[in-house]
Amino acid sequence: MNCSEKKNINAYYLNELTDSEREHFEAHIQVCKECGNAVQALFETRNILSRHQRPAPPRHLARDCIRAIETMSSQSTASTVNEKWYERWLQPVPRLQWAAAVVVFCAGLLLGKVIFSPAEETRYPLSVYHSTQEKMDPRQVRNYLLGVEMLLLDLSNLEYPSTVDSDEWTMQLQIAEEMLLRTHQVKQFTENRNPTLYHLLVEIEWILQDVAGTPSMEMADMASYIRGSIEENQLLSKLHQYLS
Amino acid sequence: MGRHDKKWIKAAQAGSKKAFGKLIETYSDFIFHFLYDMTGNYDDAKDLTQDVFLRAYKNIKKYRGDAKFSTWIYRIAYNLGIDHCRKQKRIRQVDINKKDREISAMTRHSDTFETHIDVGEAIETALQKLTDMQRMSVVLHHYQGLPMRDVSEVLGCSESTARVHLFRGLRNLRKMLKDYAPGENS
Repeated sequence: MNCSEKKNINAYYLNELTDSEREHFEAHIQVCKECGNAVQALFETRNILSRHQRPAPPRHLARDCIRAIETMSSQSTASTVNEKWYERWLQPVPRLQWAAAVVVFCAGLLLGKVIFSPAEETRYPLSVYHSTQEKMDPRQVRNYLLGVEMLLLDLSNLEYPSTVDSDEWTMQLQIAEEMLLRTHQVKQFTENRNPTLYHLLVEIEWILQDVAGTPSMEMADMASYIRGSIEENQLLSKLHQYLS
Repeated sequence: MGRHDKKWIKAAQAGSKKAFGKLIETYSDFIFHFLYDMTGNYDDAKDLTQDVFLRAYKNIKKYRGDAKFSTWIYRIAYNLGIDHCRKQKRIRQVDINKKDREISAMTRHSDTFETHIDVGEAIETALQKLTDMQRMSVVLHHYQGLPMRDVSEVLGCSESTARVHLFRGLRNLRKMLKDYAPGENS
């Protein structure tokens, strides 16, 4: 094919030509047999492809995927618990650590109670670990706080009934419910570590309890109340301050 | 695609399984069909769809929002699908050759081709005979409705390369499916 207009065939097919380019090209394919046939072949192929009725997806596909994730989560939690136990009691200790332990032990024997006192235990009271259901790192706490900030932002922007529909409210309820569980865990974790964050989480927990406990028919009353509570307690600015 | 995608993604990244469930509900059918077109096998597509969402769930915090969420999830599906296809290639090739022989035999003995051979089956066979990149370009653009820019992101190539694959794929399909074009059987 030597026609200078053939470069426009693909763009025409993908509907990427401007109005004037398209009009020009459509006039061209009326007279140029080569380009006309190429365009016709492409559109015919598309029509054939559109006749392919693919089978419907499995009926409970989404539900099965969610179940698979739940199974994976519970398995990984169990394996984490086992790993901790394994690490704590059975993991082979590198030679250097063994040597360091022997040196510390000998020093302890020589110097008596001063060095042998349980300094580590005082700095990290065991009660903190016992009070939490899972161990958290600062990144997990930060991710959680970002999630809470987003939820509170959404909640404080609710203007019932103009911008919120019942589906959206149901979604907010579900997220709030889940965030409530998470808040409780993070709150326990921070109780003895970061009093400022702990008190902030107590306030957030109250709001989330209100949201999670509100049926959708009462959302008209709740939207303004929740917005007021968030503003009154300056939760967003406190959160923002903490995150920055 | 989804109206509340951003909200659900943020919540899922913060650890909400329910929000991730909403994302699954939005995308699972698209991903299933994509994988079905990729593998040509219903059960494999179903299992792979679960794997896609498991992987997405594990990596949801790594999603930065640079690309569309749909492109990100299609990219995961593409990677898993392509691995699966490579493992199954030999087996699939046998199936395709067998189907091909059946279609040729029936064509020889029939006046009206389409009354005997299901057009869908012929299209599936033809799609499986394309190269992986050609098949994916056609499937993503035609069946999933993705613009070429998104197609190129899923395939991890430039937009112009994705176009080359698309049009080569269409040309090859045209050759294989010419008997189904209007006027060919009349």
